[in-house]
Order: sequence, then C-alpha cells, then structure tokens
Amino acid sequence: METFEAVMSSAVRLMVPLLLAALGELISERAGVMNIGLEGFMTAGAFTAFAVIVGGWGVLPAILMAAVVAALVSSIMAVGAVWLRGNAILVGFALFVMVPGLANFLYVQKNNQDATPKLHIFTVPVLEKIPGIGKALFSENVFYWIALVLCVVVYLLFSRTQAGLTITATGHEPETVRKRGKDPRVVQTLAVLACGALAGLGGASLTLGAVGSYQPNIVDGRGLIVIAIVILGRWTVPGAIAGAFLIALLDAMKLRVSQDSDIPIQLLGALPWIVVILMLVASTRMRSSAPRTLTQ
Amino acid sequence: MTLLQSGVETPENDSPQRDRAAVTHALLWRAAAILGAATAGILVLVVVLEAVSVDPVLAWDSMWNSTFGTWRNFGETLVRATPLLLVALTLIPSLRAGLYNIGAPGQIAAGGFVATALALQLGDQPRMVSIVICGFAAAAAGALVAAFPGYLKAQFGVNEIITTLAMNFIVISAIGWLLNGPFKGSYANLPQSDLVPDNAALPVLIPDTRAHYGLLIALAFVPLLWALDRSRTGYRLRVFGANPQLTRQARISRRRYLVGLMAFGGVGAGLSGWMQVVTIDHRLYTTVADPIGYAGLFVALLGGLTWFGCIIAAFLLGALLHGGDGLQVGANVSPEIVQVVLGLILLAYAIQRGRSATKEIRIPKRRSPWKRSKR
Repeated sequence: METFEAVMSSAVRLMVPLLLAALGELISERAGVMNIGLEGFMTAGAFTAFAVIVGGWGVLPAILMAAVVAALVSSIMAVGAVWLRGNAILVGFALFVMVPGLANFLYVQKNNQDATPKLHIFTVPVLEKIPGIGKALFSENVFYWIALVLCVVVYLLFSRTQAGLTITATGHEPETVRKRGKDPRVVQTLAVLACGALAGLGGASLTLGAVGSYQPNIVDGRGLIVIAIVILGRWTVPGAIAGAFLIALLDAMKLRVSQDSDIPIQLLGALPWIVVILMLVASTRMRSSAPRTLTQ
Repeated sequence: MTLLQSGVETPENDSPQRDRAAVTHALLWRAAAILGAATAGILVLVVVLEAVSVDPVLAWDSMWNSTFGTWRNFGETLVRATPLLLVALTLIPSLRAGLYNIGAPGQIAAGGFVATALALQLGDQPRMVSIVICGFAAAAAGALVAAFPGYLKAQFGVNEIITTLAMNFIVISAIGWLLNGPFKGSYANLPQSDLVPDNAALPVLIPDTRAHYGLLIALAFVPLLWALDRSRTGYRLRVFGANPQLTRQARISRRRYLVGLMAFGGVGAGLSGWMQVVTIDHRLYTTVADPIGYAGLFVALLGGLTWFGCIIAAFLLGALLHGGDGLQVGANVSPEIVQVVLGLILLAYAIQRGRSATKEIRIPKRRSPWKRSKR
C-alpha cells in the first residue's frame, strides 16, 4: 500500500507537466497546426520560471512569466508557419533545436545551481484522507490545480462554445471558416499562442513542481511524448488526461522498479518511448478523428 | 502541374530570355533571403553574447582560429564535416521523397556500437579485414535502426518523424545499459567500452591532422547518388516523391520504397558512428552521437538536396561546429550557442522554402553539354 501511494503521488506530480503541454498541443492540432516545437516552448517556460524565481521575484510572477515567454516563443511558430506559410514541421523542428540550445547556453554561462523554493501544497480537507489515492489526488501543489481547472476549461471550450467549434472547423476545413467570415490564420495564430502559454506553464511545473531545480535538457523529449499522447488521445481532453497519466505512471514506476529489482534503469528509460511507438501504431487502428488539414 | 517537380522542362522555360530572367530573379531572391537570414542570425548572436557579457569580436576570433587558423585545425574541421556529409548524402533520396528521418543520433549510436563490438572481437586481424567488416556491419546496423520506422510508416501509417525521434531515445538508452553492464570497459568505473584496437582505425588522410579516409568514403557516395539518379530505381524514386498516387497505379510497391529509402538514410549515419568510434574516440561512449546529432539533416536541407550543395554545407557546418568547441577554449563561451545558430539556420530555411520543404526552387536547368536533345 505504501509503495502504491508513493508511486501514485509521484505519477500525479509527473503527469502535470505532460497534461498542461498536452492541452496546449490539443488546441493547436485541432486548429490544424502540428507543433513539433512543443519541446522548445516547454524549455522556454521551464527556464524562465527558474530564472525568475532564482532572481527572487516570487512564485506567481515566475508562473506568469513562464507562460508569457513561452507564448512569445510560440509566436515565432505562428509567424513562420501560419503567416509566412513556412513548413510547420520544419519550423517546429528549428524551435526544437534552438530553444533548448539557448536555454542551456544561458544556464551554463550563468552557472546558477540554486534549488527553487518548495511550493505551497493546497489540500482538500476531507478527501485527502481517502486511503491510497487521497494524498496523490487531493494534496498537491498549485500546478496540479491549475491543470485541473484548465482541463475543464478546455473541455468546455470544445464541447460548449462557438470559439471551440471555430477552432475545430479550422483544423478540418479552413475554407468553410473563411466563408463564415473568420480568418483561419487568426484562429490558428491564437491557437498556437495558447499552445505556447500552456506548454510554458507545463515547463514551469517541471522546474518548480516536479524537479525543484533546473538542469540542462530538463524537458528531455517530453514535448515529443506529448505529441504522441495527443494523437493517441484522439484529440480529446479525456484522452489527453489518460495518456499523460499512463506515461507519468511509467516514469514513476521506473524509479521504484529499478530500486526493488535488477532491471537496469537505462532500459526502463526506454520504456516510455516504446509505449509511444506502440501507442502510435495502435492509434492508426482507431476511428480517425484527426483534424483533416493536419500534416501527419 | 508537371508530373515531376524537377528534371522536366516545361515549354514556357524554353526561351532563353525568359530562362535568364527567371534564373536571375530566383537567384536574387535566394541571395536576399540568405543575406537577410544571416544578418538576423548574427544580430541575435551578438545580443545573446552581450547578454552574458562576452565580447563578440573575441568570440569570432577564437572561432576563426580554431577552424582555419592552423593546418591541424583545418583537419579538425574536416573531421567534423565528414560525418555530416555522409549523413546528408544518404538522406537526400528519402528527403526528396518527403520522408523526414530525424533518427540520426540513434542510427549513429547503433553503428558505433556494432563497430565497437566487432572491432573488439576481431582484435589483431589485418587492418583491411577489420575495417571492411566493421564498416559494413555498422552501415547495416544504422540501416536496420532506420528501416524500422520506415516499416511502421509503410504498414501502419505512423508518422516517421516521431518514431525516428523515439528510436533515438530507445537506442541510446540501450547503449547506456550495455555500457554500464555487459560492455563496460575494464579501465574505470565509467560508462564506456574498452579501447578499440588501433588496427580497426581508418588511416589518416592528411599528415599531421586527424582528417581520415572517411572523407573519401563520404565522397564515394556522390557518384553513387549520381548513378542512382540515372537508374530505373532513381526514376521510380522521383515518381514516388512527386506523386505517390501514380506510384500505386504503376504497381510500384510503396512499402518497399519506404523501407528502402529510410534504410538508405541510416547507412550514412551508421558509417559515421563507426568512424567516430574507431578513428576519433577509440572507445564507445553514450555520447557517441553528440558531435553530429541532427546536423546531418540540416546539411542535407541547406545543401538544397543536391550533392554539391551538401559538400559545401557540410564543410561550413563542420567549421561552425568545430568553431563552437573553439569558443569554449578561446572565449569561454559554452558550445551550446552553436545549437542556436543551427536552429536559426533551419528556421530561415523552413520559412523560405514554404510548405513543401522538399521541393526545390525552380531554377530552370541549363542543358548539359553532353546530353544535347535533338530538336
């Protein structure tokens, strides 16, 4: 039981960055923009949050700045892929290489290895006492609650609002959107910016929440995993939650299993990637709800 | 819309005047784009360097010295350029068909590992035997690692970008495990293999440098590509790249070409992994792919998917990468800045090239003198 509790709580903690970024990628892909640059946005958020908090500005500015800076980075994506009609995958790949390089460069150059302050844990009074999952689900830091709220918001956005419908329509049939008097490029730009901000929050939750410090290549391919999560989640919010939790659970078990058994940790490190490939293979067998203009 | 994007001359390009005007126009645009991108890139770099209080002039000086300053440094530039050229040249066919193989690091690591294992096994065999066996095995290993995403794409339609990237992580974790377990060297408690015997190494090409015969192996792919371009397979590949629908109607197996193209892309990466281990590093490290990384893909793209462009781009990027190492020593700037430069270059390229990354800008071809068409 104790092991289960520990694995659950670290799984939930590791899920939060993936989930936040997945929500962003979901919006962007629904609008028809494949965002390989997610890794870059997350790194931008992670590094900014670290820099602001080490600069002594406090937690709230750190979170906000992470979202803002990542949105700025994603505006490169918006300008390059949407307005200048560049190849979205290559623009994303450029950001995938460039932003982590820049963050690593600045980090190594400044060489500040401070740990970030511990975040305040918000607890729901009674539910916290549920054995097994109570601590994991109802006693978490601020990012978890932000992610929960945003999940509901994004779900409602797509199921209940005109705006969500417009985004989905842009991904499927930009021509129709144009005929209805809305510019698909504006919709896509806003979607990419939202993606950037959410991925930035995800990055911030990685440094401030899950890891507690910054290190070079902190995102470590999570941006790509998130893209696979969104594809397997069939571009829906519940799917994204399930996928993010699955990957996070594997990540959490990795540490446990390698402590308790002889399976070497390096091999377990490959496990999420194997699951990603299996997920992608499995997803091709499902009913396709992929945004039609998405280049896959 | 012509059947093939390149190689077919459409009637409007036939008149010489329009030819010249179109060429000048295209070249001017291209030059302007490159100049603009270069200026923007340099500005960004200067700002970044100033932000961490490094003198950009000093940085430039140390970069220049470490790339072209001495004969030995020039050799180092060639050492860096060789794997880039190899990877880029073998990636050309798959990129022309619109397949993005971003799995170079994994394929390099696989090639490096197989080469190490065989070189250690072979021990004191004659040099030629050792080189040939290790080289072919490494190429096969790289091709195998690359063929798997190709198979997944052919069979299930899985996006090859994500699977090749995932393969990188999988292969490198596997190598990490091997180097911590069965393949750990006896020298120290570090994740590295035993020393590879000297007779597995490629001989030095230019005396007093580390530039090795791998450069010639890389250049040997140029005539190979040339021949491929003119063969039936090459023709089918062009059709495949230009119009997959037509390929299906012509009963050309899509699956075979997908897997074959991806595998061919892995050959160069596997070979560069082999060269890196036996000639440069002499041990297998988990970081075997780090000096090359994704830069091979950049070289192929920047070289406009032509062999000549790739040679130039490989040389320039090799200089840039080695210069990045020089920055660390000379100006105390960490070499990560080179990644920023690479990203900027790719960004400029992606925007300039437009939606179809693999289509070339249509500069009408001059007719080659030995293939004058009958009029």
